Amino acid sequence: MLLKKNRKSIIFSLDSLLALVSGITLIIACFFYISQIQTIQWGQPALYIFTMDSLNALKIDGTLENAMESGSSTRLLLFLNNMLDVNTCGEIELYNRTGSLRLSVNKTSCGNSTQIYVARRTLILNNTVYYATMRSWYK
Amino acid sequence: MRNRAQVFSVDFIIALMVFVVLLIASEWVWSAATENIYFTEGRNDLELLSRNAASLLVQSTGNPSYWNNLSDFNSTAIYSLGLCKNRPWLIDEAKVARLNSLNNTNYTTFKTLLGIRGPSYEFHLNISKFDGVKFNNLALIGKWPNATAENVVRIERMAVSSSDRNWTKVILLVWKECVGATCY
Repeated sequence: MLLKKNRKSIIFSLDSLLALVSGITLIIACFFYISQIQTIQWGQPALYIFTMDSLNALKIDGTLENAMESGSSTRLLLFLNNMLDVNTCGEIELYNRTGSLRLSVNKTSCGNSTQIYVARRTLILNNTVYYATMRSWYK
Repeated sequence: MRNRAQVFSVDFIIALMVFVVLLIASEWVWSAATENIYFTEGRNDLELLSRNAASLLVQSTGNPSYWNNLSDFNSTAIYSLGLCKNRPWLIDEAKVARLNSLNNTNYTTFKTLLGIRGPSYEFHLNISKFDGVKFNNLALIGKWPNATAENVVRIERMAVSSSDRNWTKVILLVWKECVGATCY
């Protein structure tokens, strides 16, 4: 059986071209899916845990209760300025039972951020419920 | 016949080239993906176990809770290490002092009790107390990461000292020691 040379050549070239196109498409698809792999940003849960730890420590040593009673922010400021890393900012707020702000302290020389981690703890002082909020973020 | 044979040869060569290109590309993509997954999983493993170890120290009394009074410091007598006195975040300084006295002579036991059991995993533990002005070290345990160590995970936890209620920081470094030219 004889085939015309030119036509056969065209058919086989198309075949190769199709294989090439489908191969490249497959590779691009593989790269696309591989690029979708997301790694966990471990710094974020770490900062949240540290924020929660901070409130627990301040509750255990009585700093939160004292600040609520006296209205003094000195020790809270000492905490924020010394316990938080250089690249970490923080803010502690104390609220009355009604939700009105009693005290607000910010770490010195800190700006704002769009990604903030918040922890809350409830305090009971003289049979009255108060709560403390700490926000922290990376500079 | 001669012309026809040439056509088939060219076709075969083109097909072979496409196949080889695909094969090489697949191998490349496979290697990249494997390396990425291996690196990510290695990091995740280190992060998780260091978080667990730090939580054990800051939030538990250990098992048994009087482990600091035992003369034998080994994984047969002690099941887990915890630094708390009677509640989480309240660090018992007697336990810290006991850890510090044991120091690096029991490095392997420390690793076992803290659950740092991965291949070539090492750690460094620093417990320091704030005196109102500066931090004073209560305990320095373990190794320091060498220059080639990759994936050093640093966990920082806050607590309060049981003796004077001063703020205490527990800093745990965990990393994988590099073996050979590459280290994930």
